[in-house]
Amino acid sequence: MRLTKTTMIAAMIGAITAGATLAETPHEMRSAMMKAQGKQLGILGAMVQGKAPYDAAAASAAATELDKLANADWMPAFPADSLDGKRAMPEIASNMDDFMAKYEALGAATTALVAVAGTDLDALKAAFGPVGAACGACHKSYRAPE
Amino acid sequence: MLRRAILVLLVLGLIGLAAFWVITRPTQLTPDAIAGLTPDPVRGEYVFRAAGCASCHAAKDATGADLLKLGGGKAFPSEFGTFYAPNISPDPVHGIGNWTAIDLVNALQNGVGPDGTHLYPALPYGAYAKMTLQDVVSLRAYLATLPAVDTPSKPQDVSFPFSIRRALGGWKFLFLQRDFVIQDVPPEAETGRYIAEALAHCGECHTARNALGGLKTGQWLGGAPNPTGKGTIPNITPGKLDWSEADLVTFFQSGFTPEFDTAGGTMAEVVENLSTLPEADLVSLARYLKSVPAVTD
Ligand code: HEC
Ligand code: HEC
Ligand code: HEC
Repeated sequence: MRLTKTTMIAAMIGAITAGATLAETPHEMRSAMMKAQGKQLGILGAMVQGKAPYDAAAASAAATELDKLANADWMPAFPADSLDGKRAMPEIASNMDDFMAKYEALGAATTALVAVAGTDLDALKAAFGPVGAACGACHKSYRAPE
Repeated sequence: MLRRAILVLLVLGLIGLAAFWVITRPTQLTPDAIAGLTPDPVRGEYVFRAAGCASCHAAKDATGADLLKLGGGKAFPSEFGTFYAPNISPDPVHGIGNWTAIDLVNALQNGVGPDGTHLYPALPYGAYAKMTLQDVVSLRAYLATLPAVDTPSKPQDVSFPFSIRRALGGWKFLFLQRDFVIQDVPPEAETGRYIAEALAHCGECHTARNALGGLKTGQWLGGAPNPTGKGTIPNITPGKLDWSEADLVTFFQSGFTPEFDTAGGTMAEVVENLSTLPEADLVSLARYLKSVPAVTD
């Protein structure tokens, strides 16, 4: 009983601490998450563009990491009242269905990428294109320049 | 004494009026300017893509085959009011199906419609004025092959005094420049210069404007406030952008930056257009960007 209570308190503290690290502005959350995606995409992109040798394990790992980020719940980072000051455009709030469709399109593309990233370079190349296109489609409609 | 002063003022006023009349008079070329040019629709398609006509004249968010339906309607907010792209499909009533090649030359290079009225520089004729007549004639032939759309064009929604089209003659007198902005470029950058300055109108977005909406050519490609909303369209001169030539070509072909961010906003449309051009031309475009004077902010 006592132990459970302690565990609960510890869990609560953990949650608060986690909350504190997340107590960034939504813009900062978006920025950090997007850059993390860019980092994984960069590992894969270097192989696709022939700037780094193809490495099946590294490709698999990067694709898996990217897929986690792309399929995480983005909504906490996009509250409607945060969409006016920075690069995220206010149109996101008024076109939430389309925004969600673009988010889901990325998730589907990264899941397809995970499946083949470790197969060979050609398979990676083929699945990489749609991921970049999914990033670009959302930036085209919903991201303002810096 | 007073009578004399009034007389002088009157005369000065008349001279001013005459000057206004002359300066603001639309200039139009006659068909003999293009006599003997044979249209090449294949080249016309290249020009159409590089010049980004569909980015403005197709419906908002159009993709694929819909990019060839030039029914207009897309809105372009600016500090002078909102401009709407008109229908330029081959529809004879609502589009430009009845236009001759010289009509298109006058619209794209002199900013004058077939009825002699001035067009707003929201149609980037400041860039297209640098196109060769041969390219306009080829473009005309290509446009004629596209599907007709029967949507009527929307009237422009601009405030006084910009609503007076005649006054645009003054704007052109001040700002319409037919020479290339960057005069000295290496020979390998000449194709790139033609793409950047005459067709893809990079300067329209990447160069700041003065109070009258004229491009500050002294800060060519040095960055500008985003007319469609927040933020700044980046400085792409060597004063700011340190990408290699290969980085630039990759960006034009795929939209990927060296950090694997992807182009957003209106630049995504530009990349869609540029990515259809031959790699050699994009290399030349990269060379051109590397040879424009550095603007530091
Ligand atoms: C559903 C929409 C959407 C998708 C999909 C998307 N992004 Fe973004 N991205 C945004 C928005 C909105 C911003 C601007 C966020 C801000 O500044 O508040 C952004 C910003 C960025 C930035 C700039 C970060 C910074 O602050 O410098 C990078 C880099 C980026 N995204 C990379 C990617 C990559 C890589 C992908 C694909 C793997 C991707 N994005 C997919 C909407 C999206
Ligand atoms: C319709 C407006 C428009 C036109 C025309 C245009 N650009 Fe851009 N450009 C932008 C915007 C907006 C951005 C910022 C994109 C973003 O936020 O992802 C940009 C970004 C860029 C970048 C990336 C710079 C950086 O630091 O990330 C380059 C390079 C570039 N443009 C080159 C060009 C070239 C070359 C041309 C002509 C061939 C051109 N642009 C024409 C609007 C335009
Ligand atoms: C940046 C957006 C933009 C681009 C790019 C653009 N246009 Fe336009 N265009 C406009 C706008 C806005 C008008 C309306 C101008 C006015 O009413 O004064 C216009 C007007 C025209 C007209 C006059 C139509 C009429 O009925 O009077 C023609 C023809 C035309 N454009 C053809 C083209 C062609 C061909 C291209 C590509 C080479 C092109 N435009 C590229 C925005 C654009």
